[in-house]
Amino acid sequence: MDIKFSRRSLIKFGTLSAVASSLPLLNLSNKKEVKIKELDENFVAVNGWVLDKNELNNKKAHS
Amino acid sequence: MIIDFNTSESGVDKVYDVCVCGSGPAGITLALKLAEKGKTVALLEGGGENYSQESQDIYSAKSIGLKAWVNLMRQRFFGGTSNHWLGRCRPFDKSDFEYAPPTGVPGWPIGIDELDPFVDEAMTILDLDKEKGFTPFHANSKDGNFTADIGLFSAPTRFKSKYGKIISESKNIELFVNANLVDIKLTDSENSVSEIEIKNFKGGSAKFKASKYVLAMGAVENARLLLNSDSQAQAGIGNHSDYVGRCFMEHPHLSLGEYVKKNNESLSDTHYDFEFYTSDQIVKNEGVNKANFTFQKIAEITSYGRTAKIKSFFKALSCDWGIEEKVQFISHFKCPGTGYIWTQSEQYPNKESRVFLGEEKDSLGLRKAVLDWRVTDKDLAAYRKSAVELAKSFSNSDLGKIKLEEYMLDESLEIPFVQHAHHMGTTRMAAKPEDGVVNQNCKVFGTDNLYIAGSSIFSTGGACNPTFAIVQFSLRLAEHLAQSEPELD
Repeated sequence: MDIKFSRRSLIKFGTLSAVASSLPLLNLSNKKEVKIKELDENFVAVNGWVLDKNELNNKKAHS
Repeated sequence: MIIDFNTSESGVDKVYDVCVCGSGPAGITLALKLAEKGKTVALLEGGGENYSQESQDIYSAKSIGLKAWVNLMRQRFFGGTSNHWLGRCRPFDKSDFEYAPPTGVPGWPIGIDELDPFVDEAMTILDLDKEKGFTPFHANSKDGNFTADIGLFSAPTRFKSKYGKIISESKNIELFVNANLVDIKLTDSENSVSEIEIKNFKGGSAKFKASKYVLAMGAVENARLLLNSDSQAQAGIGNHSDYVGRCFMEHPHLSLGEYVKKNNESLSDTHYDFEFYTSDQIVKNEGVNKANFTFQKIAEITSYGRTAKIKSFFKALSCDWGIEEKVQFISHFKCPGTGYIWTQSEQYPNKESRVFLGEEKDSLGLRKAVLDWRVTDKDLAAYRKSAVELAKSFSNSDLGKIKLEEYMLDESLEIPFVQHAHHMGTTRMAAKPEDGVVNQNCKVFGTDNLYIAGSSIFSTGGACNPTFAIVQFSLRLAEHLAQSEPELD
């Protein structure tokens, strides 16, 4: 699943619960609501963690 | 000399140069400075030399707005609230005096140059480390939006302990304890104070006379006494523009959220990791108010597995997972011993936040205060904005990541405030009588020999602990009172 920040699932203060429930890493018995708020063109809050969008999009290998 | 007014009513036949009501940092600083300049001072303290419940109960007040514990925050005996303050000192910034609050009331009518001459002496009075000075704790954020804070800690100075002997041996100061101001009498023309009435706790009373009078009893009590003195001025003295008691300000204490540092070293040599302060740049460009942000280390910082957890967190952010995996990882991330962030934020002055008189009376027969502490939507928006900007700056500066509390991101949730015990603004300074209670010299508009000391005169409160500025203003007022003749508006 390819999530872009422009997608409806990332609308201001929306939740990703629907998306999250289908993620491969998710333990389905431990569904957790993921609250995402787009803060500006560069930052997003994921369950309160304020993160750089570029960082989330980062495809760098492990350092 | 120290006189217990419960057992003696001496001094009533004298006319002092200045009567100072209140013996906290503002009143004691003022009295000592005036005495040094050869002025005779009656220093009137409502409480005794030591704490008593009888005196402390006078401070009890109903709180009907944001939660506040009025009487617990102040100490009503010799030395005032210096008897339990924590000692943090920070001067106002130049910019504090240069902006107009967005709430429709004017800012300061003076510049910081009025306080600068008293920095050194205030540091001496408060036992601050002059060698260290007000220097930044660490580096600023890389984007310049947040500067390192510059506070200093006093021992803390207990004014009673440090200055009690000096006062008792002073030829020019007579300290009366258990001497409660209950009324301010004006002359027939009602443009100056003729005398003040003092009561003890045993039913006795006396009148005190002076050339000049100063109220230095704290922001709630200064307003309460002006409002209670209504036998001649029906709305209370100095209240012609309905500002007495209004614009009550605190420094709201907000729990902002958590943080994880990218590196283990601490930039600060205090028990905090960082202490940031909103820069003039971000205040101007983003419309946020002043705030201090303290990054508090917590005891569990050495929790087993913490370092590995944090490493995994930053590794996950920089790895080649897809967004959805990262989002899930982050949403499940729990770090043992994560530090937390709290703030000391500026509150914009607003007229609806106020002290007024209730119907209940205290043991001396004065109407008790009611506190209706309120913040505006502009304050709330500014707190949320500055929290987000801080988290962005923290990330951009490569210091780590911040997790904000849900209420800092969701405007529909209530932000839980705690007070900082900084009471300000109830007799605000203004250029014109229609905008405040005292003029640039701390003189009550319309009353030629009545002055106010302490943080009740603050037009805006910034985000700095007020005691340092209180002492600076008292030194400034002493200079003025010692030099000037009774002044007219």
